This record gives sequence, structure tokens and C-alpha cells, in this order.
Amino acid sequence: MEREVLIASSSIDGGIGCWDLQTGAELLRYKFCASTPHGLTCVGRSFLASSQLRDPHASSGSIHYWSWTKPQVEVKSFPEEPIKPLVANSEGAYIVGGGLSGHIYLWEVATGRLLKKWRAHYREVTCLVFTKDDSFLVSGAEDGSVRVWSLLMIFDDYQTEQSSHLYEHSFLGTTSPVTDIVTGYGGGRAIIIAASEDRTCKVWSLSKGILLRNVVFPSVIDAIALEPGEHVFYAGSRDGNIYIAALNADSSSSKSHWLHIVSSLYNSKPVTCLAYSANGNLLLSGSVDGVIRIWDATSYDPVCTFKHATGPVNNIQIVRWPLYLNPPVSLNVQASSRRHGSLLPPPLDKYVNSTDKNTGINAVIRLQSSYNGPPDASYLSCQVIDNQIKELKQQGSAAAAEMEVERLKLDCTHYTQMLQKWKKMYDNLHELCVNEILEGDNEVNTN
Amino acid sequence: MAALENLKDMYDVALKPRMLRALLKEDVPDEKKPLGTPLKLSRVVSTIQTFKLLAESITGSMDDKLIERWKSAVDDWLNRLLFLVSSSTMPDKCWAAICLLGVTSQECSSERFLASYAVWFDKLLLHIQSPADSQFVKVASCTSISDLMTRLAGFPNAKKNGTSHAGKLIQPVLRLLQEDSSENVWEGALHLLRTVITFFPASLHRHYDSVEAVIASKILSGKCSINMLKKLAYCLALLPKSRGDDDSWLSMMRKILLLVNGYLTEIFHGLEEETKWDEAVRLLVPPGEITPTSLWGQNLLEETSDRARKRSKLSSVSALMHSCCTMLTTSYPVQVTVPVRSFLALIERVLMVDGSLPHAMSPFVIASEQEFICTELPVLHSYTLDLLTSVVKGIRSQLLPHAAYVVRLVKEYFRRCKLSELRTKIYSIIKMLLISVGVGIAIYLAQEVVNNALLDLNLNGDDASSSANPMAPSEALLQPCRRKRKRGASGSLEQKYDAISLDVEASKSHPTTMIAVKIAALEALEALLTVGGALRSDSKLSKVDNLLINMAADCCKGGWANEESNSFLPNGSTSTHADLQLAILRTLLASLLSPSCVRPPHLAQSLELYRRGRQETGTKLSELCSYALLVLEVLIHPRALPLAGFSSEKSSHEVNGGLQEIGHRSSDSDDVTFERWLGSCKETDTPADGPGKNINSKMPSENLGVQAGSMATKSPGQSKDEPAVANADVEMGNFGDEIIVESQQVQEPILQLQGFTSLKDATVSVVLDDPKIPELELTRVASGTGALVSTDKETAPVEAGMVDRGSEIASTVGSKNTTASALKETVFGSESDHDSSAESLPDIVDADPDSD
Repeated sequence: MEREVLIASSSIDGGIGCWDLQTGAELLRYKFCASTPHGLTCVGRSFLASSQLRDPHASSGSIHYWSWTKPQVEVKSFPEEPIKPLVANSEGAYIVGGGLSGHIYLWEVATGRLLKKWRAHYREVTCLVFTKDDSFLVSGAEDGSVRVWSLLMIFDDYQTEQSSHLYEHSFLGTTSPVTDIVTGYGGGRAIIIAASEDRTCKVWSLSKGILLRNVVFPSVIDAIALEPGEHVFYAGSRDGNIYIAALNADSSSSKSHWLHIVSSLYNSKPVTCLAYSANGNLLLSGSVDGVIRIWDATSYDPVCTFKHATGPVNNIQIVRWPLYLNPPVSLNVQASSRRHGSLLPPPLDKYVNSTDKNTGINAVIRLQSSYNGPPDASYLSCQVIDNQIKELKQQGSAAAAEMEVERLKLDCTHYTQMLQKWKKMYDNLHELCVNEILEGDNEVNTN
Repeated sequence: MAALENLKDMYDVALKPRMLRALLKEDVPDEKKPLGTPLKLSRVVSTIQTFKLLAESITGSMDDKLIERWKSAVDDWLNRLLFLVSSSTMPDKCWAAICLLGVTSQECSSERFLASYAVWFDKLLLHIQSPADSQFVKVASCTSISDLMTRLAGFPNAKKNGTSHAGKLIQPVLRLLQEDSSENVWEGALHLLRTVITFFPASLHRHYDSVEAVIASKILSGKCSINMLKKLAYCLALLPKSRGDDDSWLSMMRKILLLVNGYLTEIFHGLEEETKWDEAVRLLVPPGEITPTSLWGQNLLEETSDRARKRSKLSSVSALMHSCCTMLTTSYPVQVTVPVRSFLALIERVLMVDGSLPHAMSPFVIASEQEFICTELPVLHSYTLDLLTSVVKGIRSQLLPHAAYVVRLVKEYFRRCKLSELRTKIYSIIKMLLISVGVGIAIYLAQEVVNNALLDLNLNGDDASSSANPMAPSEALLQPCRRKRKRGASGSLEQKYDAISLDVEASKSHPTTMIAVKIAALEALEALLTVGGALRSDSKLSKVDNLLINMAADCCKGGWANEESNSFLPNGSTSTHADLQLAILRTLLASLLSPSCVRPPHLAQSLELYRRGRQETGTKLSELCSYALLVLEVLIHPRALPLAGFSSEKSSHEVNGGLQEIGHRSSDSDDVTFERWLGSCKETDTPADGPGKNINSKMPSENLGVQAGSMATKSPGQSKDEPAVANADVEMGNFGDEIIVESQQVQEPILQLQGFTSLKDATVSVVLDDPKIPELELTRVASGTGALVSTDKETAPVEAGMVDRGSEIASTVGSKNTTASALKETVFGSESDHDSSAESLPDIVDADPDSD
């Protein structure tokens, strides 16, 4: 099993904490990070990125990159405006950020190019999340709207012109700010759960675009985590409880709002973020007192706690530890970590480069195979021997020779016949000539 | 001596040296003994491989004498081989020895290999270098060295030596490629080259340019067979790996693309707009650089009227496209920049040429010229589609900005394409797109896939052999094929290209190709159903369901086709009816499993089919069918299982706690699961049966009274037994039970409350009037309650009640709680009554992470 690590960041500069979930040991702490809510992401397992809180007067935003191996910020980018939520697709090819103005920015990681920027909401974008198959982007905003964007559509200039709106669905459940969104299993038939400040969590169907359920909680929910089996979801609230709400209960109960809350865990401090580790069925909760609590999701026992910072933890994520960084695993650790480690992509562009269109968009891709084992050895000797033997046999085979002899015999008789023909013609000709001469002689003689 | 001892069995190690000696004595030639029939050689090889005669694998239990015997036998074997390899007077024995040396370098023990590979290498190298040797010897030496290098690559610490050895090989290999005239030798040399590039890329550094030049000139010479061209193209594509930087990859790619575009400009002259070349150059050549006029000794733009020359250029284009494919899909040490736009422009350029004349051009193109192009187009299109496949494969999610463009291209081409081989390819591209890009693209493609698949699958829907009602496409399909056939008589490109010229003229119904298209169409449908099954509301998709079940029923009516039927054909890859049946059943499975609001209408029929199919023991069909039966089980017995222990904990306390009190059941986790499972049946709208309609059974007040009462009285004690954290759950649970109890007491509001409690009218209204089986009743009640308890309804009603009808419930619930906060207080307040507790929580929270 791959190692899972927990990364956490806080709104007050406490760096990004990093713990091994199996051993509980704290790993490297990445410095200088005061992240926005939902502003921490791991890009394609290769590096960490976080959007930074800046003083409200700053006109541009700031996004930092950390490579796994170094605690310092390695790359700093300054987008056009402050970016709140930041998310990368699972392959790490794109980073998407939501701005204060309601715009969504989509960058290509490898080149740093800003590929698209579009007006998504009227107010600040508060959360962004990809569906599991990476084909939709779900955004939530301060005005309470939740919108689903098909990435394909975003890039399709032709279609964009045709249709009146870019989004696939726009869910308007409420007018209070959306605090967290999670997407469920499955591509097109996934569910989307969105929490908002009006103490509700709404479950939407991606395929049908309808509200499946509206769950009202006693307090405002700031974080949601979905159990992988989608039996329940966990909702971390401001009253310090983690409520457990059932998902697959009877759906005819749309009227009775609270019917879905199965149980709750008492976290003692307002919960700001939640994560679920499928590896050990652990539920992780970060709270305002800077502590990350880990619960066993089967028994709901607290397992342990990590102290991250003095300020509120506002992002926790579970990330697969990159293979090449594992302690002694292969002989070429040195080489590979040099290869992957320090090569962070360039900073993100501030503006869409309009000249790109003419010079042709190139994609920067990584053709490295993910397979680290020894290459397949393909030995050919035996095959070649067989082929050559076959060939030898064909050349010397009696059947082939026999056929050749037959053909030669036929040719021979054919040529004999021809010869005879020619001979006959010659004879005829000869006779003709002789006759001619004789006749001439006769005439002369008669004359 | 040793030969006289008897062996233990065929696995006896002592057998091995003896067998090796016997082989040496009888089958391997020496100075005097002639080679005899070459068949002997293959016997030697197979014996060595089967018994691992050269492995010298020593286990602890072997005695020293045996080890010694084996070692000396292998020594003798090698001496004999090396002697023969260097003898120049007996070419046939020399050849045999070279072959055997190749096998030896693959089979011998690591120690022996590392000790002596250098000697072998030198001996073999001589044969590659000397021009006098026969073809056979050269080929055999190339393969043997290649195997030797492959083995060497397996030893990480021999990397440096390997590289220096490999460096010596490049020149002789290039000479073989240039000077020799036999394709067999080229093939051997290329194989060796490939091995060197793959395993010892560093050795190529100094020779990079010359290798590139030689391979390119070979490709462009037009003298090679298709098979050869593919291998050359592959090597050309691997070449940049030896440098391993972004630039060499990109520059190779640029060269190839420029050349392809240049050739196409000549070939398509008059059939497309003149601007294509300029556009390609604009995309490929960075601004500021000048376009090269010639590449690899070929002028980029020249008039070619010679048809043979054109044909050879076409085959070069195909080969170069193959290079592109390889470059896009094989691994590369660093990130590379892919000129996606150029690729897509090239693909579009080729695919949009269909032999028709643009209006303005028509007077300038000679009819025979057009005819020539038309005959060659299918092959070209086929390679172009391969290229598209590789582009999609290679750039993965980075395709996104271009995905819409690709989709439009594919759609447009699909609309025009009438040749079944090409359609097969498009289907597979669509399948790939659907799976890789996901549901986003399914929205775009659904319509297209369904329409086309319906067309292809219905084409001769009733029977493959009867084309009684030839529809328009099948007519159109025939024509180009016929023409192609006529033209292809002079050994042109597409005749060699077997996939295209598959027995088209065999019969009017051409079943094999039709089956291939059908299978491809079914696979595309399967992908669509898998990825975008949620789009089913689209009426088209329901049409597909019908079509599938009809096809399945139809196709399997006549029993199951024999999977072995084509074992006599030279290439076993032709599609058979058995494959078609498999594809149908698989797609049918996807359609059954893809989500829908109602039960799949053909479920029963399909299950019957799968059941029948499973009986075909030992076939792929039966594998598929048993798999299908397994996954469909979930459809019949839906499960929404909780995390292990999640509610078995809870329900065992709540449900079985009560039950145990009554004494009818023991709390067994399996049973609990079962009960939960029944509960979830109810949730998923299975017609509610006994367990669903709970509570108001025959004697509601008694049963419930007992149960609930017991719960109520029992609960404090119970919670004592529990882990502290579960308290919250239990509290909630108990709370719910208390409400029930109270509702029993207060008769009037019971209806209301139970309406809440069970969320189904059924619960209240159904009264079972069968008093005969009280025990069963009880079980039902219990399981009913189980369902309730576990489906989270029983705790919630309290709260709901409070929010929604606070005033009504207030009386019911008593003075306990009327607001949300009050509720909370109660929940946690009551907690503190028991020994459980609020104080235990901080304890745990502060638990030391290292303590466990």
C-alpha cells in the first residue's frame, strides 16, 4: 500500500504540516504558508500548491509552490486578483483557482499558461472541486450558487458562442455563502454535496441536475467529508460537532429536514475542515484551535491528535506520498529524486496570452512510464533459430526440388517442340529456295 | 561411471550434466561431426530450455562432485561453441554455434555470464564486421549479440562496460544497414540497434547523426517492405531517447512532421487548398527561423509525376506517421513539448481529403491521378487514425483544450467514412475518448455514437449472409473496395497492407469485416453506457437497450459459436461470430448495469441468456457469463452496506438488545447485517414486505411495549458496557425509543408520530391479522425496528418533530425539549447522567499519538 500523508495548513502562518498517517510521525514542515480556506492542493503528487491570504488591499493574489523535498517556497506566482480556493486535477495537468471577483482561472501547470479565465459567479468563489473523473468542475460562491462546469465545454470556443451560458448546471439552493463542496463516486452519476451558511447541506444529482436532499443541521456546517461507500457523510459544524448524516436513507422524506442525522462526534471546537482516509478508514478533522483530530470511522473512537498551529487549521488533505521519495526503496533514488524533485514548473501567468492562439498551442507532457520495474527482456535467439531452420528446410526440401524438376522437364519438352518447329520451318524454307533456284535454272536452260 | 548410476526421477539434478554431455556428444557438431539436419539444433535448444541445463543452479543439498560435474560439462559446452564460432572453414557449424551461443547467454548462470560475456561479445562482433560471412551467419550474430546485450542490461553494475561494448556495435550495424541487400540482415541489424538504444542509450551519443541519417534514408528510399518500414520507423522514434532531452525529441518530431507535410503537399496537389503547406509550416517552424528546403537529403517540395515515386512517398509517409505514434506513446526520460496543434492540423488535413475535387480545381486534375489517390487514401487514413489514437493516448488530460476540436473532427469524419475497417478504428478512438475524458465528452458524443452504431448494427440485422435489403451505406461501401482491388493489382502499398485489403471481394456480405465493425460499434456503445449511462433520459439510449437485447436473443438463438473455429487461419486475429456474441453480451451487461430509474426491462431475459452461456464450460463466454451473473446479483439484491462495524455496533445494541431481552434471537453480527440488508431493501423501493411494514402488527402495543420498555429500562446499563464515544449514538438511539414508548402511552398522537417515525404510510395502516405465528411476528417486529433504527429515522424524528411541529410534539415528548438547542442539551445532558461522558472525550482527544 502506498503511504498516505496528511498535509494541513492554517490561516495564520504556520507552514504546511505533514504527517505520516501510518506512523504518526511528523515529516517535513513547509514554511511560509497562510492559506485561504480550500486553498491547499497537491498537484499530481509531485508538489504542493497553496493560495495565500494577503492583506486585503493587495491587488494581486499569490500562489506558492513547494516541492516535496524542500521546506522553502520554491515558486511564487501572482495572479491578477486574490485567489481563494485552489484545486488541481488528479493528473496534475491543470490548476484551477477561484477569484474574489467571481472569476475562475484555469492554468496549465507545465507551462504556467493561463488557459482560460471566465466569469463564473457574481460574488467571490468560495470552493472548487473536480468530479472524480476530472471531467467536471464544481464551484460554489458566496452568493450561494453552485455551478457545474464541463471542462470540455470551457475550452470549446465554438460551443461557447452558441450557448447562452457556460455551465452545465447551476444549483440555486440558497443565498447564503457556500462553505464546502464534495463530489461523490462515479463520473456522470455522481452526487454533489454542498454545505452553506444557512445550516444546510444539499445533495444534488449531477446527471439529473436536481436536488436530491436537503439536510438541515443545528449549526452552520463548514466542512464535509464523504465516506467512500457513500453510506453517510460527515459534516463538521461550528458548534463543535461532527454530524453524521445518512445518504442512502429514504428519499421521500424531503419534508423532514433533520431526519438524516444519524449521530455526531463531539469535537469540542468548531470544525473547519474534514478529510477521510480510505486507507485505514480514518476521519480527520481540523478545528479552530489548531488541532487535527483523527477518528476511527468504524467505531468513532478518537485515535490521536496532531497539533498543527495556534491558529485555526483551514485545510487538511490526504495525499499519496510520491513513490520516489520513499526511504530506501531502489538503487537509483539519487538519480530519480534529482529528476523529479527540483523541477518545479514555472510560475503561473497573470493574464491570458492572446498570441498563443496563432503560434499553436503545444502541450507539455510527461511520457515517463509509471512502471519502475525492470524492463521486459525480449530474447530472440530461439525464434530466429526456428525461422532459419525453417528456411533451410524449405531450400533443401525434396518436395520443392521435385517440383522444380517437374517444371524443368516440362520446359525441356516445350523447347524440344520449339526446336522441331524451327527445324521444320528451316527445312521448308530450304526446300523453297532450292526449288526456286532449280526452277530458275530450268528457265535459263529452256531459254 | 556417472552414467551407470540410476537417476531418482526426471527432476534429479544429476540428470542435467549427463544430458548436457549427451547433447554435446550426439547433437552438437564438432570438427569432424557434420551438422546433419538443422532440426537437431532446435531439439538441443528446447532440451536446454526445458531442463535449464546451463543454469548451474546450486542448492545447498547438492554434493560437491555433482557441482563439479555440472560445471565441467558447461565448460566443455562453451569451449566447443567458441571453437566453432571462430572457425571460418565450416560456415554451417559456425552458424549453429552462434545460435547456440545466443541461447547460452540467455540461459547460463549470472556468474558465468559476467565472467565471460566479453569474450563472447568479441567473437560475435567479428562476424558482424566481416563482410564475407553469409546472410545466415550475420543474422544469427546480430540476434545473439542482441540477446547478450539484453542480458547484460539486467546487471545494473555492468552499465558502464555495457555502454562501451555497445558503442562498438554501432558502426558495424550501420554498415550492415547500408551495404547489405537482404531484408533479413536489415531486420537483424535493426533489432540489435533497438536493443542498444533501449538498454544503453548513452552509447549512441557520438553516432547520433549518422544513425539518424542512415535510418531516415532507408525509410525514404522506398525499397523496404511494410514490415521493414515499421521497424525502421520504430528505431527512428527511439533515437531521441539516446540524448534524452526535450530538444532532440522536439526537433525529431518537427523534422518528421515537416517531411510528412511536404510529401502530402505533393501527393494531394489539386485535391486540397493550396494553403495547407503554409499553415503547417507556420505551426511547426518557430517564428524567426527559416524553413529548411530539404530534410535528410530529400527536397521538401518538388513536383512528382512519377507514379512509382509517389507510391514510395506514400509509404514513407505511413512509416513516418508510425514513428510519430511511437514517439508519442513510448516513455521518455524528461518532459517534452508536443506540437499538438500541428498533429491535429495534419490529421485533419489527411482525413478531410476524400478524393473529391474542390470546385475550383477540377479542370487541373487528371482523372487517372485522382483515381490513383483514391486507391491509396484508405491506407493513409488508417495510419492517420492511428496517429490520432496515439495523440489521445500520449497527451492524456492535456487533450482537454483540444478535445472539442477532436470531437468535431471525429464526428465529421465519421459522417463521411464508409469503409468498415476505418469505421472500426473510429469506434475504437471514440471508445478511448469516452473512457479517458469521461462523462464530459459523453454528452458530446452520445448522439453520434448511438446513431452510427444503430446503423452499423442494423446493417444486416437479420442475418449476416443475407443482404436482401442492401441499404445505402453498404452499396457505397462496395464501390471503393472494388476499385481499389482493380488498381492494387501491381503490388501497390495497400495490397501488402493486409488489414485494409482484407478479403473484401470474398463475398457480397463480407462477414468478417462486418463482424469487426459490429464488435467495434458494440464496444463503443459499451463505453458510452459505462461512462455516460446517466444520460439515459436521452431517448436514443433506450433504443440501444432494445437493440441489444434483440441482438443478443437473435445472435444466441442458434447456440454458441465455436471459439476455436479459426485456429487454422494464419493470423488468428480475424473476428468471428464467437467474438461478436461475446461483445453483445458484454454490452448488454453494461446496459443492464448503467443507472436507470426503473428496473431494466430485459433483466429476466438477459439473466436467462447469461445462465445458459455459463454452461459453455471452458470458453471465454462462460467466463463472461459467470461474471455477469455475479455483478447482476447486486441489481437483484441491492446492498448499501455500511462500513464494517459501523452500525452492527449500534444496531446490535439497539435492536438485538431488545431482542435478547425477549429471548428470540442472539445478537449475531451476520444476522444484523442481514437485517440491515432487509432494511436497505426497503429503502431502495423494493416492494415492501413483512419487515417493511412494521410496528403495527397484530399486537403492537404489547410487542412494542415489551421491547421498548425493556430498552428504556435497560439503556443505562447498556451504555455502561459501551465504549465511551459510542455514547452519543446510543443516547440518540435511546432517545428515539423513549419517544416510541411515550407514544405508546399517549395514544392519540401515535398516528402522527409514527407517520414520522417510519416515513411510510404503510407502517401505520397495515395491520397483519395473522395471529398464528407469534414468533415470526416478533422477528418481524424486531427486524422492522432494526430497519428503523439503522436507517437513521428514529433519532431524527425527534428533531424533525421539534422543528416542524414543535407545538404538537411538545405535548408528546413532554417537557423535554422544544428547541434545537434544548435537544442538544438533552442529548449531551443525558450523557452526563450516565457514567459515560463528557469528560472522557477530552481525554481521548488529547491522547498521545505515540502511545499506540
